Amino acid sequence: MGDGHDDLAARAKAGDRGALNALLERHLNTVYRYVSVKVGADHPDLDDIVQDTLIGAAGSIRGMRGTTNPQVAGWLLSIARHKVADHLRARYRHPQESLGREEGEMLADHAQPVDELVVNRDRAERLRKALHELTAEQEEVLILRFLLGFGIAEVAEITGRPEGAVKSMQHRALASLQQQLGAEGESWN
Amino acid sequence: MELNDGEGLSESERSLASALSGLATDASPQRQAAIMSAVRRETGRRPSVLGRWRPVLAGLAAAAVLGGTTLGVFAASSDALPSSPAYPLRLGVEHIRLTVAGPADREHLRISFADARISQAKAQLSQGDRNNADVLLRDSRTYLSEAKSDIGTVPADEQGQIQSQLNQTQADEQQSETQLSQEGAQGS
Repeated sequence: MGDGHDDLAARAKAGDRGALNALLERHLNTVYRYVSVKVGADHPDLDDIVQDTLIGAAGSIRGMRGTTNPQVAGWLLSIARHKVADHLRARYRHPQESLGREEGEMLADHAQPVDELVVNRDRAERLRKALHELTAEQEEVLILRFLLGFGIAEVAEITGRPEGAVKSMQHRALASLQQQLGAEGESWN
Repeated sequence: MELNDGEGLSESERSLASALSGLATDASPQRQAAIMSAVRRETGRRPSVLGRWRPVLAGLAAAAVLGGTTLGVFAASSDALPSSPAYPLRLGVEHIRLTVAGPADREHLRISFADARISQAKAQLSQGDRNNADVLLRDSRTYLSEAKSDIGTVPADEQGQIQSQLNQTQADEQQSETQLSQEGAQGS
């Protein structure tokens, strides 16, 4: 995230609509990646959830705390977390609706051989499931670190924990993930 | 995605971390554009520069109707300063003009409203009136941000010209803003 982020965030908070849109655009992909992990990259409502998150953020911009990149990202991800929960609750109430795109449509998106694609998809799904089995705090740290690319110091700023605590939580979370995945987790790549 | 400060991870942890990074999906440029377009539409419905004056304007509009206010009064408000009681009326008249204008005219108007304020702010600064200059520049910035945000709604063949005017006015505004802060620093 380049220079000028803090100024952009401050102007957005002060009511500058252009700055608000530019700020949301900067963070869009982080929110998108986060939601794609929480609901699955093939979820038909992925775009809608991201859109709802950004619109919700625009509506409550005055309540945003802090203007640094990790602070704004943390704030946006907390809104995304609620939107995902709302969405999954709504889905739970209407289980007849499909949770994913049709298999054929998804396979057609990729240039990989079908058998390889299915194997990769299964592995990814197992990993995603194992990630969701972790405690909420462990899952959060792993998502921020390895899926969204934040450094230890930034994760500490977002979660409000000391850096040492983030490091040990990361270590415990990875160990727990490895344990869940068994031997497969030892040689994932 | 690159792993940040991944040092200190064992080989198996690093392998797992790398697999985790592959779970997330990036939004394609088309998806990003579609999402941002919807967000812009939504945020565009929110109150803008007019927002804080809305209650005052409602009262003035009622008074204007009841009192049979003439067009001359509206015309006189077009140069009103923020400290003047006529400034909300100026904003109201501008708002009406923006509402009835087509997309390209609307952006031209926003830039011209901003430009007029920048000129006034310079004049006020030269007279030592920082308060009026400050509000004028702030409202100017809002108009410019709105123009920048909505430029995508203008027909493609007119966007270039508007963008060029916008860039010029923004540069002018930033220069005035710098002058305002420098004078503020000297004064303090």
